[in-house]
Amino acid sequence: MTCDTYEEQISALIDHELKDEEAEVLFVHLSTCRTCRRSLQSVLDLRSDLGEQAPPMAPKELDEKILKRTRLAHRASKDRKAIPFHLWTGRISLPVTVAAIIMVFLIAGSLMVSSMTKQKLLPSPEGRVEAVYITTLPAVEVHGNFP
Amino acid sequence: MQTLTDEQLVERIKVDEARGFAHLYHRYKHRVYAYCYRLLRHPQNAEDATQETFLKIHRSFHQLENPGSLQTWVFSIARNEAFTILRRAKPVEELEQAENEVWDEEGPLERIVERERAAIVQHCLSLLKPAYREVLILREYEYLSYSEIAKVTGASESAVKSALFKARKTMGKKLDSMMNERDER
Repeated sequence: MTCDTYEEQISALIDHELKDEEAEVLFVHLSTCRTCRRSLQSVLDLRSDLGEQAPPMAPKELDEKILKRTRLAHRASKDRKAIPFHLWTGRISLPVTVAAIIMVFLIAGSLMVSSMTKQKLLPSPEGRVEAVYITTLPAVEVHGNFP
Repeated sequence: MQTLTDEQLVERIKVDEARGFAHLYHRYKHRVYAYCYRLLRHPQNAEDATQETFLKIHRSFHQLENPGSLQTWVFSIARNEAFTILRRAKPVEELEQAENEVWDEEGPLERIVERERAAIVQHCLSLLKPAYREVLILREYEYLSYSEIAKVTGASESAVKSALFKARKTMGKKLDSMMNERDER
Protein backbone atom coordinates (compact mmCIF):
# COMPACT_ATOMS: atom_id res chain seq x y z
CA MET A 1 0.00 0.00 0.00
CA THR A 2 1.13 3.55 -0.72
CA CYS A 3 1.13 6.47 1.70
CA ASP A 4 -1.90 7.89 -0.17
CA THR A 5 -3.90 4.78 0.72
CA TYR A 6 -2.70 4.97 4.32
CA GLU A 7 -3.74 8.62 4.47
CA GLU A 8 -7.28 7.63 3.51
CA GLN A 9 -7.12 5.02 6.28
CA ILE A 10 -5.98 7.71 8.73
CA SER A 11 -9.06 9.76 7.91
CA ALA A 12 -11.26 6.71 8.58
CA LEU A 13 -9.30 5.91 11.75
CA ILE A 14 -10.11 9.21 13.44
CA ASP A 15 -13.78 8.60 12.54
CA HIS A 16 -13.68 5.15 14.18
CA GLU A 17 -14.64 3.64 10.84
CA LEU A 18 -11.64 1.36 10.41
CA LYS A 19 -11.79 -2.39 10.98
CA ASP A 20 -9.48 -3.75 13.69
CA GLU A 21 -7.26 -5.59 11.23
CA GLU A 22 -6.95 -2.49 9.01
CA ALA A 23 -6.11 -0.37 12.05
CA GLU A 24 -3.40 -2.82 13.08
CA VAL A 25 -1.73 -2.59 9.66
CA LEU A 26 -2.00 1.19 9.75
CA PHE A 27 -0.40 1.44 13.20
CA VAL A 28 2.53 -0.66 12.03
CA HIS A 29 2.97 1.68 9.06
CA LEU A 30 2.66 4.79 11.25
CA SER A 31 5.47 3.53 13.47
CA THR A 32 7.84 3.68 10.52
CA CYS A 33 6.49 6.52 8.32
CA ARG A 34 7.03 10.11 9.39
CA THR A 35 4.92 11.52 6.50
CA CYS A 36 1.85 9.56 7.57
CA ARG A 37 2.40 10.53 11.21
CA ARG A 38 2.34 14.16 10.07
CA SER A 39 -0.87 13.45 8.16
CA LEU A 40 -2.44 11.99 11.29
CA GLN A 41 -1.44 15.07 13.26
CA SER A 42 -2.77 17.29 10.49
CA VAL A 43 -6.27 15.73 10.44
CA LEU A 44 -6.39 15.83 14.24
CA ASP A 45 -5.46 19.54 14.15
CA LEU A 46 -8.12 20.18 11.55
CA ARG A 47 -10.71 18.46 13.72
CA SER A 48 -9.72 20.58 16.67
CA ASP A 49 -9.79 23.77 14.52
CA LEU A 50 -13.25 22.97 13.19
CA GLY A 51 -14.53 22.26 16.69
CA GLU A 52 -13.42 25.59 18.10
CA GLN A 53 -16.08 27.65 16.36
CA ALA A 54 -19.36 27.97 18.27
CA PRO A 55 -22.22 26.44 16.26
CA PRO A 56 -24.59 28.89 14.59
CA MET A 57 -27.90 28.96 16.46
CA ALA A 58 -31.34 29.08 14.86
CA PRO A 59 -32.87 32.53 15.38
CA LYS A 60 -35.69 32.73 17.93
CA GLU A 61 -38.21 34.11 15.44
CA LEU A 62 -38.00 30.86 13.47
CA ASP A 63 -39.80 29.11 16.36
CA GLU A 64 -42.90 31.23 15.95
CA LYS A 65 -42.85 31.10 12.14
CA ILE A 66 -42.53 27.33 11.91
CA LEU A 67 -44.61 26.23 14.88
CA LYS A 68 -47.43 28.63 13.98
CA ARG A 69 -47.59 27.30 10.43
CA THR A 70 -47.54 23.69 11.54
CA ARG A 71 -50.22 24.37 14.17
CA LEU A 72 -52.45 25.94 11.51
CA ALA A 73 -51.86 23.01 9.16
CA HIS A 74 -52.65 20.59 11.98
CA ARG A 75 -55.90 22.43 12.83
CA ALA A 76 -56.95 22.55 9.18
CA SER A 77 -56.44 18.82 8.79
CA LYS A 78 -58.42 18.17 12.00
CA ASP A 79 -61.28 20.35 10.69
CA ARG A 80 -61.30 18.45 7.42
CA LYS A 81 -61.57 15.17 9.31
CA ALA A 82 -64.44 16.54 11.47
CA ILE A 83 -66.75 17.26 8.48
CA PRO A 84 -68.99 14.19 7.89
CA PHE A 85 -69.29 12.89 4.35
CA HIS A 86 -72.54 13.79 2.59
CA LEU A 87 -73.59 12.25 -0.69
CA TRP A 88 -74.40 15.64 -2.16
CA THR A 89 -71.11 17.21 -1.09
CA GLY A 90 -69.11 14.26 -2.28
CA ARG A 91 -68.10 13.87 -5.89
CA ILE A 92 -68.17 10.61 -7.78
CA SER A 93 -65.99 10.41 -10.80
CA LEU A 94 -66.81 7.83 -13.49
CA PRO A 95 -65.61 7.25 -17.03
CA VAL A 96 -68.03 8.69 -19.63
CA THR A 97 -68.94 5.26 -21.03
CA VAL A 98 -69.82 3.88 -17.58
CA ALA A 99 -71.88 6.97 -16.81
CA ALA A 100 -73.70 6.60 -20.19
CA ILE A 101 -74.48 2.91 -19.52
CA ILE A 102 -75.86 3.74 -16.08
CA MET A 103 -78.04 6.49 -17.60
CA VAL A 104 -79.39 4.10 -20.27
CA PHE A 105 -80.24 1.53 -17.59
CA LEU A 106 -81.99 4.15 -15.47
CA ILE A 107 -84.09 5.39 -18.42
CA ALA A 108 -84.93 1.87 -19.63
CA GLY A 109 -85.73 0.81 -16.08
CA SER A 110 -88.08 3.70 -15.54
CA LEU A 111 -89.88 2.97 -18.83
CA MET A 112 -90.24 -0.69 -17.90
CA VAL A 113 -91.68 0.18 -14.51
CA SER A 114 -93.97 2.65 -16.21
CA SER A 115 -95.29 0.07 -18.70
CA MET A 116 -95.61 -2.60 -16.00
CA THR A 117 -97.90 -0.34 -14.01
CA LYS A 118 -100.07 0.33 -17.04
CA GLN A 119 -103.54 -0.85 -16.02
CA LYS A 120 -105.87 -3.05 -18.02
CA LEU A 121 -108.59 -1.30 -19.97
CA LEU A 122 -111.71 -1.36 -17.88
CA PRO A 123 -115.22 -0.87 -19.27
CA SER A 124 -116.90 2.14 -17.69
CA PRO A 125 -120.54 2.09 -16.68
CA GLU A 126 -121.32 4.21 -19.74
CA GLY A 127 -119.86 1.50 -21.93
CA ARG A 128 -116.66 3.42 -22.68
CA VAL A 129 -113.21 1.95 -21.98
CA GLU A 130 -111.16 3.61 -19.24
CA ALA A 131 -107.40 3.40 -19.04
CA VAL A 132 -105.21 4.37 -16.07
CA TYR A 133 -101.50 5.05 -16.50
CA ILE A 134 -99.19 5.29 -13.54
CA THR A 135 -95.79 6.72 -14.40
CA THR A 136 -92.81 6.50 -12.13
CA LEU A 137 -91.21 9.91 -12.11
CA PRO A 138 -93.17 11.91 -11.15
CA ALA A 139 -95.80 9.55 -9.74
CA VAL A 140 -98.95 10.69 -11.49
CA GLU A 141 -102.08 8.78 -12.29
CA VAL A 142 -103.70 9.66 -15.59
CA HIS A 143 -107.33 8.73 -16.05
CA GLY A 144 -109.03 8.88 -19.41
CA ASN A 145 -111.79 7.37 -21.54
CA PHE A 146 -111.72 5.86 -24.98
CA PRO A 147 -112.67 7.20 -27.43
CA MET B 1 -39.83 14.32 27.92
CA GLN B 2 -36.27 15.48 27.20
CA THR B 3 -34.93 11.95 27.47
CA LEU B 4 -37.14 10.49 24.74
CA THR B 5 -35.27 8.51 22.11
CA ASP B 6 -36.00 9.28 18.46
CA GLU B 7 -38.16 6.14 18.28
CA GLN B 8 -40.17 7.23 21.33
CA LEU B 9 -40.49 10.71 19.86
CA VAL B 10 -41.96 9.27 16.65
CA GLU B 11 -44.52 7.34 18.74
CA ARG B 12 -45.29 10.51 20.68
CA ILE B 13 -46.00 12.41 17.46
CA LYS B 14 -48.42 9.68 16.39
CA VAL B 15 -50.36 10.11 19.65
CA ASP B 16 -50.14 13.89 20.07
CA GLU B 17 -49.05 15.45 16.80
CA ALA B 18 -48.87 19.10 17.87
CA ARG B 19 -46.82 18.61 21.03
CA GLY B 20 -44.76 15.80 19.58
CA PHE B 21 -43.83 17.84 16.55
CA ALA B 22 -42.90 20.84 18.72
CA HIS B 23 -40.59 18.53 20.64
CA LEU B 24 -39.00 17.26 17.44
CA TYR B 25 -38.56 20.85 16.25
CA HIS B 26 -36.80 21.95 19.43
CA ARG B 27 -34.60 18.87 19.37
CA TYR B 28 -33.38 19.43 15.81
CA LYS B 29 -33.78 23.16 15.07
CA HIS B 30 -30.24 24.26 15.95
CA ARG B 31 -28.63 21.30 14.26
CA VAL B 32 -30.65 21.72 11.08
CA TYR B 33 -30.05 25.48 11.04
CA ALA B 34 -26.30 25.06 11.67
CA TYR B 35 -26.07 22.43 8.93
CA CYS B 36 -27.91 24.67 6.44
CA TYR B 37 -25.93 27.73 7.50
CA ARG B 38 -22.57 26.01 7.05
CA LEU B 39 -23.66 24.62 3.71
CA LEU B 40 -25.25 27.77 2.34
CA ARG B 41 -23.01 30.39 3.95
CA HIS B 42 -25.95 32.77 4.15
CA PRO B 43 -28.13 33.41 7.26
CA GLN B 44 -31.37 34.19 5.40
CA ASN B 45 -30.99 31.22 3.07
CA ALA B 46 -30.24 29.02 6.06
CA GLU B 47 -33.44 30.26 7.74
CA ASP B 48 -35.48 29.56 4.61
CA ALA B 49 -34.01 26.08 4.25
CA THR B 50 -34.66 25.34 7.95
CA GLN B 51 -38.25 26.51 7.68
CA GLU B 52 -38.92 24.46 4.56
CA THR B 53 -37.27 21.45 6.15
CA PHE B 54 -39.57 21.45 9.17
CA LEU B 55 -42.69 22.15 7.13
CA LYS B 56 -41.81 19.23 4.88
CA ILE B 57 -41.17 17.01 7.90
CA HIS B 58 -44.60 17.99 9.25
CA ARG B 59 -46.35 17.36 5.92
CA SER B 60 -44.70 14.05 5.15
CA PHE B 61 -44.22 12.60 8.60
CA HIS B 62 -46.36 9.59 7.68
CA GLN B 63 -43.74 8.69 5.07
CA LEU B 64 -41.10 7.99 7.69
CA GLU B 65 -40.87 4.22 7.54
CA ASN B 66 -38.26 3.48 10.19
CA PRO B 67 -38.51 5.52 13.42
CA GLY B 68 -34.89 4.62 14.17
CA SER B 69 -33.75 6.58 11.13
CA LEU B 70 -35.42 9.85 12.15
CA GLN B 71 -32.09 11.69 12.38
CA THR B 72 -30.89 10.73 8.89
CA TRP B 73 -34.38 11.43 7.50
CA VAL B 74 -34.36 14.93 9.00
CA PHE B 75 -30.90 15.66 7.58
CA SER B 76 -31.72 14.24 4.16
CA ILE B 77 -34.71 16.61 3.95
CA ALA B 78 -32.54 19.51 5.14
CA ARG B 79 -29.95 18.58 2.55
CA ASN B 80 -32.54 18.59 -0.25
CA GLU B 81 -33.81 22.00 0.81
CA ALA B 82 -30.30 23.44 1.10
CA PHE B 83 -29.30 22.06 -2.31
CA THR B 84 -32.50 23.43 -3.85
CA ILE B 85 -31.42 26.87 -2.67
CA LEU B 86 -27.86 26.27 -3.85
CA ARG B 87 -29.12 25.22 -7.27
CA ARG B 88 -31.26 28.33 -7.48
CA ALA B 89 -28.15 30.37 -6.89
CA LYS B 90 -25.96 28.34 -9.24
CA PRO B 91 -26.65 26.25 -12.32
CA VAL B 92 -26.91 22.53 -11.58
CA GLU B 93 -24.04 21.73 -13.92
CA GLU B 94 -21.68 23.76 -11.82
CA LEU B 95 -22.57 21.69 -8.76
CA GLU B 96 -22.33 18.36 -10.48
CA GLN B 97 -19.50 18.88 -12.94
CA ALA B 98 -15.82 19.00 -12.12
CA GLU B 99 -16.04 16.15 -9.63
CA ASN B 100 -12.31 16.30 -9.12
CA GLU B 101 -12.33 19.90 -8.10
CA VAL B 102 -12.58 20.33 -4.37
CA TRP B 103 -12.67 24.13 -4.10
CA ASP B 104 -15.85 25.97 -4.84
CA GLU B 105 -14.44 29.39 -5.50
CA GLU B 106 -11.51 31.44 -4.45
CA GLY B 107 -12.34 34.20 -1.96
CA PRO B 108 -10.21 37.24 -1.48
CA LEU B 109 -7.66 36.14 1.03
CA GLU B 110 -6.72 39.71 1.86
CA ARG B 111 -10.06 40.31 3.49
CA ILE B 112 -9.65 37.58 6.04
CA VAL B 113 -5.96 37.13 6.75
CA GLU B 114 -6.21 39.46 9.72
CA ARG B 115 -8.96 37.51 11.35
CA GLU B 116 -8.61 34.92 14.03
CA ARG B 117 -7.77 31.33 13.22
CA ALA B 118 -11.33 30.13 13.78
CA ALA B 119 -12.69 32.59 11.26
CA ILE B 120 -10.08 31.49 8.74
CA VAL B 121 -11.02 27.86 9.34
CA GLN B 122 -14.68 28.65 8.68
CA HIS B 123 -13.79 30.65 5.60
CA CYS B 124 -11.68 27.76 4.38
CA LEU B 125 -14.58 25.36 4.98
CA SER B 126 -16.90 27.64 3.05
CA LEU B 127 -14.54 27.52 0.06
CA LEU B 128 -14.96 23.77 -0.33
CA LYS B 129 -17.35 22.57 -3.00
CA PRO B 130 -20.76 21.68 -1.48
CA ALA B 131 -20.27 17.94 -2.02
CA TYR B 132 -17.11 17.97 0.11
CA ARG B 133 -18.34 20.60 2.53
CA GLU B 134 -21.47 18.63 3.38
CA VAL B 135 -19.67 15.38 4.27
CA LEU B 136 -17.23 17.27 6.47
CA ILE B 137 -20.08 19.12 8.21
CA LEU B 138 -22.11 15.95 8.75
CA ARG B 139 -19.08 14.18 10.19
CA GLU B 140 -17.36 16.92 12.19
CA TYR B 141 -20.40 18.79 13.51
CA GLU B 142 -23.24 16.30 13.43
CA TYR B 143 -21.11 13.25 14.29
CA LEU B 144 -22.91 11.04 11.79
CA SER B 145 -21.32 7.70 10.92
CA TYR B 146 -20.29 6.90 7.34
CA SER B 147 -23.41 4.79 6.82
CA GLU B 148 -25.62 7.61 8.13
CA ILE B 149 -23.87 10.17 5.90
CA ALA B 150 -24.36 7.77 2.99
CA LYS B 151 -28.11 7.62 3.75
CA VAL B 152 -28.38 11.40 3.95
CA THR B 153 -26.42 12.10 0.77
CA GLY B 154 -27.46 9.06 -1.24
CA ALA B 155 -23.82 8.13 -1.85
CA SER B 156 -22.07 4.85 -1.06
CA GLU B 157 -20.07 4.46 2.17
CA SER B 158 -16.83 4.13 0.21
CA ALA B 159 -17.63 7.37 -1.64
CA VAL B 160 -18.23 9.07 1.72
CA LYS B 161 -14.91 7.74 3.05
CA SER B 162 -13.09 8.97 -0.03
CA ALA B 163 -14.80 12.39 -0.04
CA LEU B 164 -13.95 12.92 3.63
CA PHE B 165 -10.32 12.04 3.06
CA LYS B 166 -10.11 14.37 0.07
CA ALA B 167 -11.89 17.21 1.87
CA ARG B 168 -9.63 16.93 4.93
CA LYS B 169 -6.44 16.69 2.96
CA THR B 170 -7.24 19.65 0.73
CA MET B 171 -8.59 21.74 3.55
CA GLY B 172 -5.59 20.98 5.77
CA LYS B 173 -3.20 22.11 3.03
CA LYS B 174 -5.19 25.24 2.27
CA LEU B 175 -5.44 26.10 5.94
CA ASP B 176 -1.68 25.75 6.38
CA SER B 177 -0.96 28.01 3.45
CA MET B 178 -3.48 30.62 4.62
CA MET B 179 -2.05 30.56 8.13
CA ASN B 180 1.48 30.92 6.78
CA GLU B 181 0.42 33.85 4.65
CA ARG B 182 -1.25 35.51 7.59
CA ASP B 183 1.81 34.99 9.78
CA GLU B 184 4.09 36.46 7.13
CA ARG B 185 2.15 39.69 7.04
